[in-house]
Amino acid sequence: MTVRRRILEIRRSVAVIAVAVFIALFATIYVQMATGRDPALGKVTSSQQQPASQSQPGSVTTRQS
Amino acid sequence: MNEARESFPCFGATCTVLVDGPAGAEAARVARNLLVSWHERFTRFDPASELSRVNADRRTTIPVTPLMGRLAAAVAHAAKLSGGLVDGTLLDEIEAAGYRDDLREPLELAEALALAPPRRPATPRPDRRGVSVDFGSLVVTRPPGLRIDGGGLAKGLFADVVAETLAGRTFAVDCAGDVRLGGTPRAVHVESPFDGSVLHTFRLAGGGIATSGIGRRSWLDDRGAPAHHLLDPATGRPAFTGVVQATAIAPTALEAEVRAKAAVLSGPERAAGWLPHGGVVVLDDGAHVTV
Repeated sequence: MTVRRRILEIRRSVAVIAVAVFIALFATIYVQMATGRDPALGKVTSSQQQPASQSQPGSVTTRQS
Repeated sequence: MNEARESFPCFGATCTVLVDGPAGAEAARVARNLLVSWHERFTRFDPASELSRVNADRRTTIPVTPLMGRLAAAVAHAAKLSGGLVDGTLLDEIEAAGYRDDLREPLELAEALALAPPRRPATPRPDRRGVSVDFGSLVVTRPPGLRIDGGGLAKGLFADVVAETLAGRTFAVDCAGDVRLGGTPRAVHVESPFDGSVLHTFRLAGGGIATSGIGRRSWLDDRGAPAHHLLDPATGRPAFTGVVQATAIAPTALEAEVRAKAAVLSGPERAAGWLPHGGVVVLDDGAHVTV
């Protein structure tokens, strides 16, 4: 019986830890996404951005309207 | 740099908002919504608009919203800065010239110039009528029946007001030709009224730049005479001064608009004097001078 109970306790611990880790990871990613910092997008963007010294804002045209 | 861009029809032309930085797209969208809503609130072509209701009010002193107060203050500021040359109270006169709702068949600039009377500088009304604003109690005071024409002054003012919401960012608010800038320097092209080519390119980091002229909104009036929306305050008639377009740089888009209009109205000899921060003057013959 003791061994059986020990097995159940270990299974329960594993399940609790797995759920806790999942919730923690999910919450971390959720917060990042909600604040607009998508890690995957961040990587793509940084690899495509020009060096700041070369980047230029777009031109505009003033005309009669 | 990854600028968000919103370009949309507004104020009878096209407005463009460029915003860089985090959430730039959302900021540009908010700016667009503001400009579109202000167009609806301050158009003189809708009798139910806020501007039309103020103009129709028979009282001398009228309670107004803060933005309506700023528009009235802009009219007063324009008159003061230009010595009465830029008069935002000539609504009766502009309607009499034929600009009542949508413009009639547009007249080519070259044709309008060929039919125009002899050139002469515009002058202020001898009996200048004032508009004043009390921002403490939010009331506008003006002579009975005097109506405000937002016109270009509203575009400059609204570009400046949107810019207030974008402080600290790199941005450009192009409110139908009246531009307010902030942040990293950018190129600003000045377009020719004759063929749309680029006459000059400025590189500006902040402040305002605006273009005014008679090229885009010209028509034949009831008498068959060429007309446009820049009036000589003294006569109430469209002004043909020898200058067809002026672009002005100034600390704000509103001031740039006032200076550009004053430069057109004052004629070739005095136009450059209205452009202490720089600009471009285009004459009847297509020649242009960069100040």
